[in-house]
Amino acid sequence: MGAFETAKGMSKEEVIEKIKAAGLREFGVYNQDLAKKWEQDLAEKENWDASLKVIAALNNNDTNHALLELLKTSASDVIEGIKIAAYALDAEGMQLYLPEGEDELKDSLSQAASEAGIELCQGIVNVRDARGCSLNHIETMAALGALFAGAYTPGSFITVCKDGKNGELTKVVFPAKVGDIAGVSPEEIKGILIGSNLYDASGLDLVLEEDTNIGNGVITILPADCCIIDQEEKLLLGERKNGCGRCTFCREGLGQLHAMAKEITEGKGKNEYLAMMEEIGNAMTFSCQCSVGQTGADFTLGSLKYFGNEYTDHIKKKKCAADVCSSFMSIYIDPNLCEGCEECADVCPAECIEGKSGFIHMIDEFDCTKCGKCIEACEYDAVIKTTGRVPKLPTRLTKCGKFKKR
Amino acid sequence: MAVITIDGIRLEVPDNKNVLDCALEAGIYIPHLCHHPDLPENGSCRMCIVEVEGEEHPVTSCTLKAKDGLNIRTNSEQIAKLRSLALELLLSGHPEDCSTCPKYGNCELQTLIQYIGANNARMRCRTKGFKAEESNPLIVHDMNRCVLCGRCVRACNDLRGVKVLQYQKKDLETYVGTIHNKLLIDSDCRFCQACTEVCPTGTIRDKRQLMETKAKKEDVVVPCRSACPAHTDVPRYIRFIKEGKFDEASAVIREKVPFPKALGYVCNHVCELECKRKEVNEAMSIRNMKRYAAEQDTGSCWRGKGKQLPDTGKKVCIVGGGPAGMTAAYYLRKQGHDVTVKEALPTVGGMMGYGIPSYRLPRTIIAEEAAVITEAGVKVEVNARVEKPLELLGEYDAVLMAIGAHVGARLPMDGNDLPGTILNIDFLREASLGKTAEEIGMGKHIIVLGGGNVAFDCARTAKRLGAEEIHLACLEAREVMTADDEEIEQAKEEGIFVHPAQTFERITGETQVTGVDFMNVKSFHFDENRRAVIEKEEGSEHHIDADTVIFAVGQRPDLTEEAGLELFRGSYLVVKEGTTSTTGTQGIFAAGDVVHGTKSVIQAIADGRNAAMEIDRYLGGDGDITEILAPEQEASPYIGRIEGFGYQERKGTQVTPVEERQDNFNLVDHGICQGDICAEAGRCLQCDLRLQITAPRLWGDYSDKKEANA
Repeated sequence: MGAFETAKGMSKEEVIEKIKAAGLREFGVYNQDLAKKWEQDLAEKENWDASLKVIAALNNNDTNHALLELLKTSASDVIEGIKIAAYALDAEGMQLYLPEGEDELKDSLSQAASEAGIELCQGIVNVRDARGCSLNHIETMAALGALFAGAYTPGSFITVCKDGKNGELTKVVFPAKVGDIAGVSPEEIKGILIGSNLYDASGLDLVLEEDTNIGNGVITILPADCCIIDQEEKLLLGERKNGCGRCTFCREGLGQLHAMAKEITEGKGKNEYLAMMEEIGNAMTFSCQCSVGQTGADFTLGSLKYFGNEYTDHIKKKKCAADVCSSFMSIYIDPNLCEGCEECADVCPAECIEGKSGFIHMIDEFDCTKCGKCIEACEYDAVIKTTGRVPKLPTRLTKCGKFKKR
Repeated sequence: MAVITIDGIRLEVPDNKNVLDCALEAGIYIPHLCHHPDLPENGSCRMCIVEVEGEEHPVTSCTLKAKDGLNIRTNSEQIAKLRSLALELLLSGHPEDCSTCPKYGNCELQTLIQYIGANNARMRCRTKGFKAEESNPLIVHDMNRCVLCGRCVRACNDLRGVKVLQYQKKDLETYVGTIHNKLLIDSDCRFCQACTEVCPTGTIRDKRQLMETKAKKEDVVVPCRSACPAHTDVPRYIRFIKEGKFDEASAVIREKVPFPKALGYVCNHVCELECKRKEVNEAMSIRNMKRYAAEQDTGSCWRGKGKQLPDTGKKVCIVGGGPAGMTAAYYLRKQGHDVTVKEALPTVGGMMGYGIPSYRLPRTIIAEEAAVITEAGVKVEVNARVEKPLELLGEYDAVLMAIGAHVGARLPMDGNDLPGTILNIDFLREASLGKTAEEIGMGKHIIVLGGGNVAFDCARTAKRLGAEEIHLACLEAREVMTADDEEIEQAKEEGIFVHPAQTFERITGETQVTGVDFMNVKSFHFDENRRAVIEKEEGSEHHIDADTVIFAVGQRPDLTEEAGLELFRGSYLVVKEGTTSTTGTQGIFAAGDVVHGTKSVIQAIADGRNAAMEIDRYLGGDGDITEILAPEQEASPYIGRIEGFGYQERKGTQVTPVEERQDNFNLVDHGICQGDICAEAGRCLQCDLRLQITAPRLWGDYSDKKEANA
């Protein structure tokens, strides 16, 4: 007998009792007791006088999509789970959201979904349209399906993302030490992301409990040689692209955080940005309607808390300790080493290297994008990249070997 | 019911009502931007946040539902900071040039800035860099000014169901637009302009700026209704027509005019000139829809209904039974007065019966509509010319002079009094009385001088009376001829030669007209003294042979000093400043062409209504002649999407083929056919729906104790 059949053989109250007894939780950003969450959902439905639908989706802020794996390995659990939820909540419709671009997955699910009466949707969930609906994590639905199929085991699916690649998705039983899951030592790393929350290496000592918010189920390792602010800038850019743009604090807040982070990586940051970023970031956590905005400043707030020194370095000392932010570096051609071979000028994509055969080459700092192609091209190691001072350089064409420091 | 407390004030409100509305209705102002009373809540701008007892963080009051015991504060240090931050964020992408914005002074964002006192100084500001979209009709989109409140999207999707405007993203900027940035017409927009109405900023604007004109908003928003001299409620009757409710539609028309059918045939339809649909593709065929409704009307909605006040014992004499006089008579009778119409000609109708040829307006229609007026109790005396209006004052308490302009003008030129010259109005009147060409004195070769509708009426009447060759010449160039295009086209089809841009040098002949000498006009305009300035083309003199010349260059009233009334420009009656119809002679009123010269039937009707109001007041009444005849109409704001709406073409009319129409006075234009009528009505933009939308109330509109303290 299928999970849904089992549930249907029980009263709605009995279904909810069983969920309570198993201690089933809503996974993802809104980690909480599932039975309680449903009570709130039903109260909200009354508030909005809406027809309740059961919606299963990843959290809107999830751009990693690691947990989508569950739809490949245990699709039937998810589908049964949605049906059980709809039964228990007396819902009038069911929807399953897949991220944009997951067309193959959508095709593979379409038959099972349509048989179950579930509408397949794509993109992030428009929370305004979903008012008065019960929005549940896909992982929650999988657990629910498994529970009624008699195959439920407690715990949560987690993967470790290292060097930009996800590891295997495995079920972790709580309590669990982050360091044990991550499999790295504190020296190897600069920081760690648990879901959307940023910690320094001390995060490895944290112990995950069942009520810990693990967000998208991904523990991301930030390597020791990364620049936190560079990471922040890239992440914020991604979040800006991901958001729907309706909430003021998500759209404009992320815009401000990103603009400031970008200016800081470009050496144009100002001290007052830090207080501003904290003010905006804190407000965002409760001023947006979905997880994109609510968690959008998590990285920023974590970095301000744990990596304040990196901000000070960038803003005051005008340096990027990790040598990642190219704005703080200079590239120049050592006039004493240059042989005037023109190799560097040939590869320069910005065409900002001046010189001719036998003459010392010069880089126009204004146009240089610091891409480093000239460094690779130079046989004489004459192209130098430094965060320190730049020595005196020729200002007009000078024959090789004729440049003298004065 | 729930009892909630806002800032210590206890309010009893319906359960589940949103707290923002509860507060606003109680006069407690909470700033808001994305909220609009007619739209579902967006909860995005964060202006309306409040503190709820027992909740950690502030929440938006627009999405907060009233529950018994709810206790909220609308202001605190934390709220002020967060509101200010939200506004700063909104302003980070909004241009600072308020004073050059067309919405300046009417901008809801601007009042919020004043109320909250924030600016963008702390923010990293940016220019969004959108190009203002001005290639759509009626509506301008300037997405640089948008603060993404989303009202327009909700108005288009939820209120109207048209679903054209959506949130879009370009690079990192969110904006509102159509899918693939298509033009509105290609996105099936219905041009209802609800988006424009709800936009709190200068982002979505009317092309024709409401602010620029001093006119009332209502008049600018629904231009057909305001353009009509009688202010017929055009959108309302078109909606009835669309539903096939022709009796109801006719009743709407009858609320303002007693000659719906005649107007349906011959109205000069200024409404169509102003119709906003014209900006999209072609104007609505308003006149023909009116005609269809009037022809189908059984009178079930208005016959025997409407206003009839008890008799007042006051007597009114109306001199002249044209549209102005008959209209005034009708409404004065309804106000309870004893009304007599004295008409010089054998039937009433005025220019409708003796100016406009019967192939355009069958005489039975005038008789039918006049009958409604006599049935209401108006007495009509025909063949009763009034020479001495002042003498009427002995018998009547008031006299209305509505004698029209029945004297044709003869141009001052050589040969203008030769045998064979005829005046427009004499010619048309004689023809209308059924006289033959010989009796009128018309030959076989005709030249009509003039380029208005009357000139074409003369030319086409001459054709029907058996003229062999007809030329029509006028001073104006073809583009600026005052006749309707369809008149000109139909005349040409009937073989009438039209010669625009001609000067009339002289009428040739010794004892009888032999023709007219013309010269070509190079340029022509009127100077500031309304005098014609004409530049002729040298050596262009030419001659056209004719035995008859018809002057169709205007008419004036048949009135002289002998009448004992104050005149201007020789024969026109003077009305007192600040009145529409009251003359300097106590008890004498004037209306229609006799006041302002020849205009139109609908203008005469409007004048008649105004005269009725003034006379009623003069006789002790309240001057209120308004009537409600049509049943109440529920105009649904949810108009939905219609594929290809903007491209729907104006429906034409059925016209008798030229070979069947040029030798008789049978009706030429048969109006819109049954199969097309509802489709034509469906083209209406329903501009009046916009007036249903609740106007914004700005914070200055809330007179509240809280504000007094602040």
